Amino acid sequence: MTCFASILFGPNPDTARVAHRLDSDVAADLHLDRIRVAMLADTTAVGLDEVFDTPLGDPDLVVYRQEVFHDLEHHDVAALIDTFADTLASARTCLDNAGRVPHSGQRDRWHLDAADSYFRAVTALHAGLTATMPASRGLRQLCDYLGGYLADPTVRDRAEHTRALMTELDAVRYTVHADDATVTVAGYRDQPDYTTGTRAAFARFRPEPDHTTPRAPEADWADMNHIEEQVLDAVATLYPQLFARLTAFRREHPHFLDPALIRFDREIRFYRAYQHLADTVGARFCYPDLTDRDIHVQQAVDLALAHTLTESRQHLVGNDIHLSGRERVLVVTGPNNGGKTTFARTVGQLAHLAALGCPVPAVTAALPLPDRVFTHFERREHLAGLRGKLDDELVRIHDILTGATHRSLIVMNESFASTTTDDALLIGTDVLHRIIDLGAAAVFVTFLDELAALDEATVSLVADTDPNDPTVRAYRLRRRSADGRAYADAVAAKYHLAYTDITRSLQR
Amino acid sequence: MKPHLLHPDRGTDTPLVVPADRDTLEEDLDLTVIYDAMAAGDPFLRNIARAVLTASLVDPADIAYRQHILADALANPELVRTIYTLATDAAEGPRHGSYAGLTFHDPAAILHRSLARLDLLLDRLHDLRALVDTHRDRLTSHGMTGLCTMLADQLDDTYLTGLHTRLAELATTGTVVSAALGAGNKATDYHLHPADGATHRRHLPGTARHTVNFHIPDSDDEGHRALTRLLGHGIDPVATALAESADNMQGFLARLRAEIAFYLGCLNLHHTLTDSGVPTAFPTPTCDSGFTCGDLRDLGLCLTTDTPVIGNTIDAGHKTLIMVTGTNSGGKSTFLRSLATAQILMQAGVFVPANAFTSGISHGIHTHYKREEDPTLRHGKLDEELARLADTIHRTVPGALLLCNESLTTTNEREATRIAGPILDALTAGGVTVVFNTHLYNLAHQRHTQHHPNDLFLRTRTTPDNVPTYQLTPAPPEPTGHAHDTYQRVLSARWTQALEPTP
Repeated sequence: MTCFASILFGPNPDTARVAHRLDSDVAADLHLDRIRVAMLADTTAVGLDEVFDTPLGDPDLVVYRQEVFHDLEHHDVAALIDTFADTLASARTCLDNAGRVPHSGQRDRWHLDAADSYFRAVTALHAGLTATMPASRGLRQLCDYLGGYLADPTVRDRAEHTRALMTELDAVRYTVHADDATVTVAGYRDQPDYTTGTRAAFARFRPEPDHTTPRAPEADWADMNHIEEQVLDAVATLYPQLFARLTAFRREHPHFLDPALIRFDREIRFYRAYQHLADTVGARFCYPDLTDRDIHVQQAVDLALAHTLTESRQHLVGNDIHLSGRERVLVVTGPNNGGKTTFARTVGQLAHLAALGCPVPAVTAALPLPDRVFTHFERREHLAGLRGKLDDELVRIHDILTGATHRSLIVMNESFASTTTDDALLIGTDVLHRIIDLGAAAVFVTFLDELAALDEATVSLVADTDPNDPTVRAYRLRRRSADGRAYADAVAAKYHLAYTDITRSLQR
Repeated sequence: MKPHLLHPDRGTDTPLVVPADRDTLEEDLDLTVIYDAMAAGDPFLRNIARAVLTASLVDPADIAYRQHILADALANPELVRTIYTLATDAAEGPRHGSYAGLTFHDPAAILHRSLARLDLLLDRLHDLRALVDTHRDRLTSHGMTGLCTMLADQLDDTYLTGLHTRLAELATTGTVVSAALGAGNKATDYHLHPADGATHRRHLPGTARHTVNFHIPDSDDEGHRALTRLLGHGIDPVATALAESADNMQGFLARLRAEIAFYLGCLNLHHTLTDSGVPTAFPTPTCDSGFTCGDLRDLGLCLTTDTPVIGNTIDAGHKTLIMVTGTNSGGKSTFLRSLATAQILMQAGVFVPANAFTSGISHGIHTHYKREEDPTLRHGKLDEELARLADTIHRTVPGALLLCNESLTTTNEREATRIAGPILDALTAGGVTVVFNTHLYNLAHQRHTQHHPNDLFLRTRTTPDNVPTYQLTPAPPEPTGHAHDTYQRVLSARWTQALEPTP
């Protein structure tokens, strides 16, 4: 039988190459913590937070995950996985019930129900994967593994045994009749049926199936009251051999869950949770190409911001990110309206999400895998801190510059704002030079216009949208300041009433 | 069972869609005046008129379907009124047969209440069937004859009698339930069976034991309650089926009431117009652009004034831009409203106040009117107007009709022309039909010189001595200041008067 290790970390999870773990400060600065919460809040699977905090260092493993994501974009593959998860969850509930309920006739049956759910989940997953023929290495290997697993004689016998017993139990039907305090239980003998008869007679007045009155909530507790138990005992007396075999099944097959499949069930939810987040936000996603050094991204958006705007359906402006050749540092200046910080976060998020093997919120993206993402955002002073604010900032800068390599990404946001402009310029110039000498890629948000044209490694970006415009959140950053346009054209463009806007709107 | 009086039976429900800009339409076109005329004091009729009029049809077959039913209604007004009254009585009868509002779920109680309701509702349906049976020969529309056929087919006497018998049977039987083994061996799939003979059946060969008994002691209250619950599971599906049936019969009658209410509203409207001597005609919808009309009057004006209303006769067939220029108070706004209203009436299947009206079906009717100044405005006036215009335009799809009344008066003429020009170009090129009332001469003139074959320019017409006729005539835009005319007309007479020596 072939092995299957991990849908997240490939065939050799213990030796998979990973980059520096996501620091909680960096996660907070880049709002990656919010993305993590939005993504994983609804999942019950354990350990996925840790996966989110572990960017990959191996380009091949990134592609391995992208392949799985790509397969899951197909509705039938995603539905297959979700059904598998649901059925496996009900198997777990049944097992839990089997360990809990007091009546042995029920315990034995819950155990059989668990086995039945489990084998149905596994068989359906195998059949589904065989039919949909996934392209990813991960799901193909899983499909092979399932084939071998289900062909194993022990497993096969157990599954067949389960199915046979279920079929016999399903065929049992009994009647209950109460004569005052005496309850009579008997085998069903084709008595006339009022239920179907009445439903048929009134069928033309009854709604379509999807409009029927919601059923009164079924009692969903696993155990029984003593009357139900006595009825069940009576049924067991009516069918003694069948109930003896039910008891034997539990004794013969106490364990049947496969650890590799249980791990798969947990890990695949990482993909589904991210996809769910991506589906709910109003942004386009793409699979990033991995480069050695250059960055080319079109219309990237801040995923955390997109998520918070999901409800209000506000329009999000995407921004392009380009660093090629000698260009290494994007220096962002412009009016103080929040668009710059959003842009800085977007770049940092993109690098991390790409290193998780996830699709990223952009139209196209090509970027390198960083060995580590550093952030330097303005912080409130620590109450217990012994150092002043500038000292604290400089210590953090020092840590970054000693830890970073030419493969790191550094995101600096409004650093040194606590000092005088002259000092800030002096320190900023020095830090920027050091970053350039290091060769790291960086985003440098600053109020110091002078830094924008420091070196040929720097690229100047300026916010370029009417800040009074309430219709747009986040702002377009351009490589140059805007050229003047006639007011009429500008105001028409502001409300998306230019010729091309309307034409595009009509072609939607 | 569905009445199918508003839409032909296509197997699926066609919901009445509220257009996103309904409030704007109502405000700009004074639609509430029409609702009120249709309601004739009945708030239910008003709500229906509002919902149906603004949820425009876009298929000519659907429009014809309603026009034919309306013609039947006009010929048989008493039938329409009686159906409405009968359906109103039944639809407002006692409800809550199902779970709604019940804190304690008692299937046996639901069963008995449903049996009583069903007896009553079955009688009402019988009355309804008998009523339409007597009118059947005088009805010609698919909608009305379809309703007759459906009631006759579905509610024949044999069937109704059969149901009454079944209800009586259920009211008297005892309780035997059957069940299967579900998850955890808990009982599932309960069914209800007649009590007689269940315990005294002859034993079938092959099974060792056929019955097992146990006894619940009198002192075991919880046990007796549990038994009642268990048997309740068997009664529940039958009780639910009956409660749902009763709800649905009532639902059908409520729906019939709502659908016939629209035609009753149309009858009320027709009555008012005929009394005032306003001509009415069923319009002809086409799949082309543009319109032609003969003596088309503004419905709102017809309903609110006692003096005769002047109509317009215009041929704008195949046109996609109709630009109306000319004097203020010359009938531009009235014309725009008469056209928009007629379009709405046509696409609701209603007659229009005209001798004739033929028009292309619009995929959405939108208005953009000049607004009175808002004192609370925080942005500039132009900003406010453009934001509104953008909302409207971004909602517009190809094939829509956009009616603009004095748009872009919130800025100077040069800027307005510069903004409006590309908007008009993009809309007409994108398949939107635009009717544009304006006094922006530069804009109209610029467009006129481009000689678009599908443009029509209309102008208000005055008599040679400058008295407005309130009618429009095809004519290119004119540069002369009509304000000057108004000044002359209104004030120079007074100057003359003032200069005359007092007697």
